[in-house]
Amino acid sequence: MQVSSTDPVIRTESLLVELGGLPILRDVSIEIGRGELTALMGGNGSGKTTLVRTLLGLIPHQGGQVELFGISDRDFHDWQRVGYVPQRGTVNIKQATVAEVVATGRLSVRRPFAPAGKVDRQRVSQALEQVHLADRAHRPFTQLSGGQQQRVLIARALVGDAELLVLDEPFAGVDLGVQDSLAALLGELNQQGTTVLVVLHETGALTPLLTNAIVLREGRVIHVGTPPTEPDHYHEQDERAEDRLLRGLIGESH
Amino acid sequence: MDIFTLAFMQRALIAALLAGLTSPAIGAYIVQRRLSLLGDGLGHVAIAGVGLALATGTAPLPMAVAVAVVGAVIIELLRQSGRASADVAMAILFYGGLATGVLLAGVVGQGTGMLSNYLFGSLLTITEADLWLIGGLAALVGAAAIGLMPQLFAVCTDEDFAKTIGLPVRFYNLLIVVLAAITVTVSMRTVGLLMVSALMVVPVAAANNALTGFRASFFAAIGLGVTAAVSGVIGSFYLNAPPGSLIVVIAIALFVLSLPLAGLRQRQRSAMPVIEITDPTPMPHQETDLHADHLHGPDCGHRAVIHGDHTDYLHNGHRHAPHGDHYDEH
Repeated sequence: MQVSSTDPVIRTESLLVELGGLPILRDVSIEIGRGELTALMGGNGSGKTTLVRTLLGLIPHQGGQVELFGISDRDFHDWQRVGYVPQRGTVNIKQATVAEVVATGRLSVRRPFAPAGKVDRQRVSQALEQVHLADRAHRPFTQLSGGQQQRVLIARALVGDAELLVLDEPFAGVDLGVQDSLAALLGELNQQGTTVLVVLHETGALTPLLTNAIVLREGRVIHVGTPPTEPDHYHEQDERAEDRLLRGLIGESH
Repeated sequence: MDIFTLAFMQRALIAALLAGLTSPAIGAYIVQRRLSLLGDGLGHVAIAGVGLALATGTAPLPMAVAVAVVGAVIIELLRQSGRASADVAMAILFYGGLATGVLLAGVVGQGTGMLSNYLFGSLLTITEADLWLIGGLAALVGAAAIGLMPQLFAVCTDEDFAKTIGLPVRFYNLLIVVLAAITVTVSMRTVGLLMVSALMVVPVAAANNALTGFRASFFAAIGLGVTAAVSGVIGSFYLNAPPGSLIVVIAIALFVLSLPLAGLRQRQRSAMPVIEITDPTPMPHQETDLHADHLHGPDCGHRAVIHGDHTDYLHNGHRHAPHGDHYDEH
């Protein structure tokens, strides 16, 4: 399957998603090009997570179109090109080493009943090196810090040769220093050619690295394009993230 | 007298070996998915199959397999439907199975005496035909549990991720409960349907205490399961007790022995406590000089505390956080 490299990595047109009869996403048309580092932003309940879950095929959509790498989601089967990093809290890992968790990402290319080959093991150690956790391969996943667990989940998404990384709130529950190093890691991966879509509450440490921002509000796109130029201030927690965004991005006219 | 020369004991020991192999193998996935009591429910459903077989005069084992597998499919479909009432529906299914089995056995005059061989295990009732069927089913369970280990592990730990890499998640979920149903019936003769779940869960819990990693504790759990099942059958011959009870007691004893190991591993690194900042007024800024020979960090060895949006490190009565070129006392 030859796909032209100018096709956007993600494209939606007039996307409609309803959950329990309520429209959660309305008329969402976005485009994410190859090599971009895009922030998907918005307040609580704005539909950010629903949008990424729809893009990943986890939620059906009731209208409009979704294309991945230029192919309609109905015909898309190249899931090894997409790496999903869910919110850390949704992962239920009780008993596993770091390497075992990362190795599950290879299942997009491994066949059932086939034991892991040399390439699979190499890719696991490469992915752990990429996230700077090579020395933790045989430690229990549950005993890592929050930031380290997030890195493991990023490695798991990378190990299947993903060209697109989709991260859902990677900064949730990790301290500021760790946010900085996770942001630097995403920047590195983006430099190496990985397209990155990251759901964020506030841009924080990622601000200087972003190439693009999409802002949702109540299920509609209210901004596409320029990312904010200044990071949100970490300690202004009295102000709603959404309000800050709107001021920073959309200027005084709204 | 050598018990290994008795034909019925040979059959009982082979059945115990197969139960000990398969129960923890599928139990490892069930524990990972936090469905530890699923085996118990499936055991109850299988009782209906035994009752049906006793009432119709057919062989109990194939009937129990069929009924338990159908029950497993219904349970999984209910769970996938995600309805709140699914929980109650499962309870009705489980107790309906138990009640139907006891009722059917009673109606044909077999009573609970005959049924108790299936509820608590028995050394004497295993026929050669049973053994062939148990062997075949155990081979099926073992092949799937080991051959599909990465896929089943992925589905048990993170369904959404498994879907995004293109795994048929619904199929694998269904496979896990169907394999669990088959395992229940494989172990029925040895451990009994009321206690079969213990052999699925307890060796896994013990292995998880002792070892790191899914694969390592998977095989360790199988080792513990075989130990408990075989020694339970041998012991029950001398004690003249139902084998199921002794197998479960031995398994729990192994679990108790594993507890100190869990404590040891936990002490190596426990989860960081979290202190939330509730008062927005900043603390007075009190600096501490950088320690000449020590840099606090995630691996510095000092106890760490998550404090609001940063991490504090504890030592010698200090609790401080890195700030520029010095530490702030918090």
